[in-house]
Amino acid sequence: MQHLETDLLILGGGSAGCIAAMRALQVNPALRVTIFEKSDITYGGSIARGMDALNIVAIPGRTDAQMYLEAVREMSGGIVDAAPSHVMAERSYALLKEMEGWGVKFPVDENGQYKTLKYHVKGEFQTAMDEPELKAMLVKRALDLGARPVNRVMGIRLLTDGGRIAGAVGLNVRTGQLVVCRAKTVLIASGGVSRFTLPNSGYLYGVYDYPGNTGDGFVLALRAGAGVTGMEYTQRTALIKDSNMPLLAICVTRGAKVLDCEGTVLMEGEVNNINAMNVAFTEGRGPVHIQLSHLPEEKIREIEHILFTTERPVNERFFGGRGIDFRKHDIELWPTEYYLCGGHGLAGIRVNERAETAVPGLYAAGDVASVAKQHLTGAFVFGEIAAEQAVKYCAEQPDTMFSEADVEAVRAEHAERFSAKGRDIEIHEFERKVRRMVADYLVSPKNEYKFSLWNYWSETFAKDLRNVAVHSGHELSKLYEIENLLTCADCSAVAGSFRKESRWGETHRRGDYPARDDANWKCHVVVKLKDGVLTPEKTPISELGEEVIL
Amino acid sequence: MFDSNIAINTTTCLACGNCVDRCIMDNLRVALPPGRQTSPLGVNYQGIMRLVAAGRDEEAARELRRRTAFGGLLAAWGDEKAERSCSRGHRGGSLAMGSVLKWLASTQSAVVYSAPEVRHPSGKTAAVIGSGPAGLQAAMHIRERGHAVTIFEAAGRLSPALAEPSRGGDPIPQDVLEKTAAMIEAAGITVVTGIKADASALSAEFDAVIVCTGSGAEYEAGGYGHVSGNLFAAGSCVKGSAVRGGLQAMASALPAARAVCSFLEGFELDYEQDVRTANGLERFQGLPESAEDLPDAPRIDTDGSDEAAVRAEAARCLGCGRPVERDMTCWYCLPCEVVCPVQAIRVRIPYLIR
Repeated sequence: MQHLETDLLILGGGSAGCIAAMRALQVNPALRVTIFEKSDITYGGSIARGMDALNIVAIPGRTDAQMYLEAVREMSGGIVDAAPSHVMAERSYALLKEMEGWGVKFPVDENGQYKTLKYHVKGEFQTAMDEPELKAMLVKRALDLGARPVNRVMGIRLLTDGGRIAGAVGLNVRTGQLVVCRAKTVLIASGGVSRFTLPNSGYLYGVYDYPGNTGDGFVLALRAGAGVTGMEYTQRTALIKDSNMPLLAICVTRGAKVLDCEGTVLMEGEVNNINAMNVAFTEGRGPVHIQLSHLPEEKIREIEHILFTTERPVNERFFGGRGIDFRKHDIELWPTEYYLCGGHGLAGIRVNERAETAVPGLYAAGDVASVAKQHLTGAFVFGEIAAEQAVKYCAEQPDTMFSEADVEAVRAEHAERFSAKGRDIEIHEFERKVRRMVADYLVSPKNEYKFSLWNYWSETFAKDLRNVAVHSGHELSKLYEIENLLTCADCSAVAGSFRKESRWGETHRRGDYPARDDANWKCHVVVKLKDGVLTPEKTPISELGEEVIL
Repeated sequence: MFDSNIAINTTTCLACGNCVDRCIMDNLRVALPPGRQTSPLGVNYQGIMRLVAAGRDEEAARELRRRTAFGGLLAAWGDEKAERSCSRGHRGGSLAMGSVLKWLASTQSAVVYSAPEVRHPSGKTAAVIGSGPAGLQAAMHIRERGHAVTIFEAAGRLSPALAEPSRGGDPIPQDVLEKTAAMIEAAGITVVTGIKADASALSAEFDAVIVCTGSGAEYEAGGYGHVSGNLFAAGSCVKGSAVRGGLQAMASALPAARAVCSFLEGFELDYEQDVRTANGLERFQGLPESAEDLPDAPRIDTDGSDEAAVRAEAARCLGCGRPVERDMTCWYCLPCEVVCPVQAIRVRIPYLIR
């Protein structure tokens, strides 16, 4: 077992984690900053390479934070705390300027104005960006300032001291060794729950978001006493059939049409009706497809450039392999997988506009946090906010020390799991079955009977987990990942069963409560672990000037 | 259930491990070639040989520079352990690694002796006492991490012992010493000569002090060369040290230098664990099948100045190392391809989604 000591421990070296490390060291260069990164920090996270747009920027004179707040509330069925979304939009333009300072390219039009695209209902917040090396640039800056990454390590338990955060235990996903890190403050930035259901392709890792995101942070926070919210927001997006890579916004905001099987246009020019795609499928008018053939050659080239260089360059190989040329052929979309994530949806650890959770000294940022539909802008802004708060917290608080008994408990469980002897379930079989049951029982259309059937499987899987053969450190990390996935699924079942109404179109549609019920359910459903039981509660939506209830 | 997605071209692969290090799904491992495994500085000879054989000397020099700033000294010493481990040993004689390094050091000196990229200034200071192989290595490593480094050398010039004939070996050529000294200066390291430094006095003046005086076995050092307080020691001035020769002394200074950096940055001394363990690099396990069929070829002896002979010798490398797909977890995100210097890796989309 390796022992480390640091001031700020960041769990997850993706977009939020890296910018947090940078910001913390800018504010206090003497701070010790350690990053546990499950993969390798250079390309780790949902943004392995770059992005085609900074999704939310309120450009002065064109849009503002109030407009954005109205837009995100409309797009989230009203279930949005005001302050976090507002502060994100307020800081978004300064963020863009800061990124320009790193050398990130934001294309401008002939009048020198930033190129923007329509994605939100109220205005053009999405700002075009052209930077295939974004992640590598960010990492270089963080390391240059002195951040210390510990690669191939995932956080598996938070350590506390009288309710206050005191560190974490990590697991090396290659060697299976434990790493204990004492820390004055911890930032969870470990992404959403990507491997939630099975994608139609049947390939376990053929998912939209980074497949290393298995809800680790949600579970860490729950066990430490923080709340998670939006777990009933089981999101399903129409993605490229089989490859599950993104491209809808990239194409549609550049003039593409989305059609159903009858040729009816569902969207054109702006991404304003995602639900119509889901409805088309439900009503038997799928598959929907993107048509680009009417666009001029230069637009098609622009789209190809983005798809094939910036975000997921393997797109070129995928379409090439299937003989699809955008000039002649349409792109088939299927709603194939479900996931939980605060970047695109509402699921996440409850945070306020200071990135604080209910646990003193514990912060959360990025896809793992509950800032509604925050995308990359939220990961960056809240990464910075969390860092600023953490630096202050470190300076004000005395040292902490966790209890050795807590570490010993983790070690004993780890030793018990790290064995294949006498066990007859292979890890990939276990994962496949868990994710299939999640897809069977926890997504729309939902009903009480399905939730009760999930409860049977949840108990069964808890027993099966102890019978999974672990042959290597890598497989051991998978077992911890699937355990996290199961806990997130349990939260989704608890929250989904609790919210006795339908909201957000196909995202939470209950057959037994088909109507939206604002009188009773215009509130958050927050799940906390109370005496070992996942317990849901209603939490009011906060307005500007009000404290977010954590 | 799974499809194998990663295709490796074993006739061009350098076994540099970039793809393995960068894979974000922990899907790859590398079978280390024996030379790199046994080289005290971990020099990737397979990569260097294949690049030189292909006439890509500048890239070969960069591969050498990636592992050590002291390629010139290494070329002069030769890497005996690495040569002994070479799989060619029984098939016409082990590769003349030292000769190929000499070729690179003389023809690619701008790369081999290039100054390192230095991190953002940390505001911390370190003193290195002694400028033998251990001292040079320690100074360079600490400097790269952004700390201000001063070398104290009692003699009137840098690295005096290297200019003398040593046990069983010639002195290091004058031009190698000069270029090495120039690189030390270009790295921003201050050199003070002609002063017999007092370790305890310097301890008060600098944030950390590391003694590398090369002999005497006078320092009782614990793990990672820690003596006491902010004082560290490395090389054969440590009691019980089994260091022999310049190359070993140089390699032995690395763990201590890492500990000094951890100390300066406020971390515990053992913060950086063994990189090989952390990265799960695998031991060489026999020749690849393709190499088994190759005819024996005799070693071409050269002093590293004859281009044709050097390239022919480099071409004898069997290419024992390679990455392998391990866990079938590919997300087809492609950083592995991006970081491969020779396009030897290609990701196929898994069959299920092809």
